[in-house]
Amino acid sequence: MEVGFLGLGIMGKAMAMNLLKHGFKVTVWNRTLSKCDELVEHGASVGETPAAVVKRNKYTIAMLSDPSAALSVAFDKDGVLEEICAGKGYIDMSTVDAETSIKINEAIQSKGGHFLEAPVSGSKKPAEDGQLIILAAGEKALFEQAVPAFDVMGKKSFFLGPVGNGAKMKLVVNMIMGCMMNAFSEGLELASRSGLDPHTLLDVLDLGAIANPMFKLKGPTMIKNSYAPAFPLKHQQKDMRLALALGDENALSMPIAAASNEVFKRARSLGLGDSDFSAVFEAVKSVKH
Amino acid sequence: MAMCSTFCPRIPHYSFLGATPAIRSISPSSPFRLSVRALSSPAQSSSSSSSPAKEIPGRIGFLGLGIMGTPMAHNLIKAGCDVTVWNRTKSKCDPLISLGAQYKSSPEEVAATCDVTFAMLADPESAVDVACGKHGAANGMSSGKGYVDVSTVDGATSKFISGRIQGTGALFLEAPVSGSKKPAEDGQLIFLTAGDKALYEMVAPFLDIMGKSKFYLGDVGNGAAMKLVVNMIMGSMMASFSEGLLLSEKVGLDPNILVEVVSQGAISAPMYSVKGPSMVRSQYPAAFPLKHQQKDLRLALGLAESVSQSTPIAAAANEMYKVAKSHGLSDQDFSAVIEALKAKQ
Repeated sequence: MEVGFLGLGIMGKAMAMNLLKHGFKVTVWNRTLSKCDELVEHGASVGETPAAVVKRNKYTIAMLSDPSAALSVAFDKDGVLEEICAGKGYIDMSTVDAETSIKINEAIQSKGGHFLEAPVSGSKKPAEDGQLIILAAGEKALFEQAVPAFDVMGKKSFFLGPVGNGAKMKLVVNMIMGCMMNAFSEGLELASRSGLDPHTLLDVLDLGAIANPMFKLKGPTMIKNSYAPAFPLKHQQKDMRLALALGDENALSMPIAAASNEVFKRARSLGLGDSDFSAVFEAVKSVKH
Repeated sequence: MAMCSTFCPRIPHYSFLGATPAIRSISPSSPFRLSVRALSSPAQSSSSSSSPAKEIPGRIGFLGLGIMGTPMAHNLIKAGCDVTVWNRTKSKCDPLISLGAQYKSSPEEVAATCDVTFAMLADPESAVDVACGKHGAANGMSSGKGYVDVSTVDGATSKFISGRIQGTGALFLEAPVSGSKKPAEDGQLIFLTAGDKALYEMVAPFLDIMGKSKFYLGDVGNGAAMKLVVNMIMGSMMASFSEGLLLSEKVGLDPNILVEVVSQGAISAPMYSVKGPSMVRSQYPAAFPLKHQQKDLRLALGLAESVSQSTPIAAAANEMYKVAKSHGLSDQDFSAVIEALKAKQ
């Protein structure tokens, strides 16, 4: 199967690499072209622009960092919309708000193209291991056609209905995750300040009802103040902000999410935006009263 | 844990259930007979002890037969232990009495007639009352006995009780548990103990009957703190999960699918998979009463304040549980906190 791939950041690079390793012919594009080099070594070809990639491929996948990048790749000069047409499918796996997704969908469809939003749950390692969870919504037929690619990149795919539902599901999941990371940070810090060994806390947590892979994976590195980015904090805070906006639109009170967002903002102000989102722990530690 | 029952036939005044092969030498005046089965060579069971023998408790007291105490005491009885119970409401003792437990009408009498007394009370106030009140356990304690408080309380309460107990010459162990009703029934609790190490070692076999793992964390207060930290995280997680379920529904998603998506990923926790489906149906059968979760958050916030730590997420969660209590949901499962975010009917 042939596919275009736009966006070779932390996630896109790993996902495109998986496709290549599983025999897909992949045409890549990235804003910084040099990021394509490693993929080329593994057999990818390069398109100079998003439009060039779409021109040469029936299906194009995008994995961009935020709503503005997703809109830019679609709408700007030399963007996807210049070459999208009937018979071509665009699968945007970026995490954006529902409005952005709906906007891109409308524009794609107005050119006769087919659209699927498909944000993922999972960060760098699941991307590398092909263990992502794919939250797709939009055109069902395109979803079916994308399944071979999804099965390579992920362990499970959901089709959630009309465009916007994938975006919303992703935001809800990441909202819970951001709150959990904050709760975990508060607990780790309280354990330490109370004279307990935080590693023992990790052991206790791992045995009980609130054991989860995120605590198990991140706990040890957080205790060592090590925050190599698997999921950059700035993106987590963006997701909290978008989730809170959804809550606002629906008049739903979300005090935990609101409190968590504040701590992520504080972490950004401490310069931790490009660190892993677990670096919110540093913001939790830094407050003394 | 299941292994123990094959080693513990239901013999009155039976003791020793664990892995320690040490043999206790029995004085002629001992009121009970020991039947010991070491897990290692059978030859040991007939020899006199060559290593320092540990005191192995014969009669076990159990104070407090609520959601947790009842199955815990039940497991001890099933394993062949000699158990004497007390509960503020006597009728709660009846099922256990019919299974072979003895009954005394006050914590003091239980403590006086038992070697080790466990206490599982709902909150600091009851824990203090049962241990130190009129006809409290402390009045029946003396050198050679032990008191294991399995209640979840703050450090200061635990230290207060510990002081009173140890003042009688007895040993004290705080041992709050992680795990609610089902783990208690299944003998899968996690004990977070601190206090007298000698008592910890003595009661290890009983902890192993009631639980799947145990930690010894040092000085009194450390077990209490660890439990509060764990339940602080748990309370915040449940509150956040509630927000997620409601938001998914409000924006037109199926909350059951949210539960499934969560269960597939990095934030998948048993609590979410177990409670999610019933929360979606607005059902909250009490495994861990909401009032106790709020109590734990309140105590955790107190702990945080004592170490000058700001905990905005736990504070926000605590407010949600308080709102839920004001809606009359104190005795429902703590997952009923989701109701705090719904529009009042």
